[in-house]
Amino acid sequence: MPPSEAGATAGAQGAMPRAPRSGPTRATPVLLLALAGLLLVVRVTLGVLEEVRPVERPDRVEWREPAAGEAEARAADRLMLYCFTRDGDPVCRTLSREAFADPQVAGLIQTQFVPIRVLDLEREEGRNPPYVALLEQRYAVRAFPTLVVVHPNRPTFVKQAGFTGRIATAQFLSSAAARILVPHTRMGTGSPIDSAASAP
Amino acid sequence: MNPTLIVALLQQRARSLPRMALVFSFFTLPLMVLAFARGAGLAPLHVGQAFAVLLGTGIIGQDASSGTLQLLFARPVTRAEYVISRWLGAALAASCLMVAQLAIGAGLLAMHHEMPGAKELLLFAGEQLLTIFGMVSVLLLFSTMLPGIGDILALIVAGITGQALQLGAALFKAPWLARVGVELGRFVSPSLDLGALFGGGPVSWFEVVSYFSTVTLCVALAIVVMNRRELSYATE
Repeated sequence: MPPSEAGATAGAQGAMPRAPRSGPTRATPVLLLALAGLLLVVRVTLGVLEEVRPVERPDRVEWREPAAGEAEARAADRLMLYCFTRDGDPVCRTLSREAFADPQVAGLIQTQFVPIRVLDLEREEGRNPPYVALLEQRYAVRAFPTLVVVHPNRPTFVKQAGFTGRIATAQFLSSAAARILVPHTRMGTGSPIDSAASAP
Repeated sequence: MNPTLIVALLQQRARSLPRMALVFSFFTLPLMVLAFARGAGLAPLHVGQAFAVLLGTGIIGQDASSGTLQLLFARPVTRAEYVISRWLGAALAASCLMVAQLAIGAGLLAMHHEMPGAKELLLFAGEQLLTIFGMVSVLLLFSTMLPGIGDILALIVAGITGQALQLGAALFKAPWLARVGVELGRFVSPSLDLGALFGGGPVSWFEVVSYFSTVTLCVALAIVVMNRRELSYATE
């Protein structure tokens, strides 16, 4: 694009010989400034309020049960995204609210992975169902939430423990596919707790 | 609002060949995807922001750099009128492109028997419209402060800074830094999720107010900056 594209005056000149006008040409937009100021105050107030009491937005990811999701991934030869989560855990809720409720992140998950939700019940019931315990042992899950990306026919997996923000999560998900399918690819490190691929 | 100034803006934009070539690409390529790909839905048509950037870049800075402002303000045009006309002109032009593209895209989807529902179409169009007006507002503010197409550079730098702050927050485990990054990103790329607003679920009024706050703040500050701008007839 050139730095200047002449022409604004050409058309504007046609408009100028209208009825004579008086008054300053630099009048301060008082009403607009007042509205902007008011909205800014409301914005800050609501920001503080919603920080204290966050709005629970719906999760946009269509999560599968482990057995159904694994079967689907094998049949379609697609990557699986396990989300190890706990009911009522504040960090798990933040992940759901900020990442899985985001249309772009949810769209990325839906197109790249077969999303599988694994609900940990150890805190509530004392022990987990056998398949949950097996999956947590296989992928060395020690914190919640934990995201694990794995291909049904490959031994390696990548995981992210905890929630480090929407962008970090999106970056982890974007790079995970390449790290699984091309194991020697040198990718960005993502978040510090994003582990390297290791054998299950 | 001055219709003549709006028409002049459109003529100015239309005379820029690279700009029009990019607009043409962003208009036709998503439609080609829809023509040949199945199951893509409306996703390829998320280009309202691109139209806004292409038509809004240098919205005032180019007039300042070319010396047009000195000639223009020698006429009985208020600065607020000029700023609002430029803002509306670019946003309306981008909106028309978006609506035309959406109409053709919906036709292509209908040919594949994948026509989305009326509510989905309306929400999509509404979101794109809000994104366009929001993006042009931010460009308008940056453009009053920077010459030429410096506004787009400022936008890119601010966007990258916002993302870097969020990644840095993850690294240093500083939630407040992440919040600063998120808010910076929210300011330079204002948009509104109408699906959440009209979906019947809980609504984040903070996000709704944030959008309108950004738009009004940018337009108001752009007028104030233009009002305070001294134009030299000798050197510029």
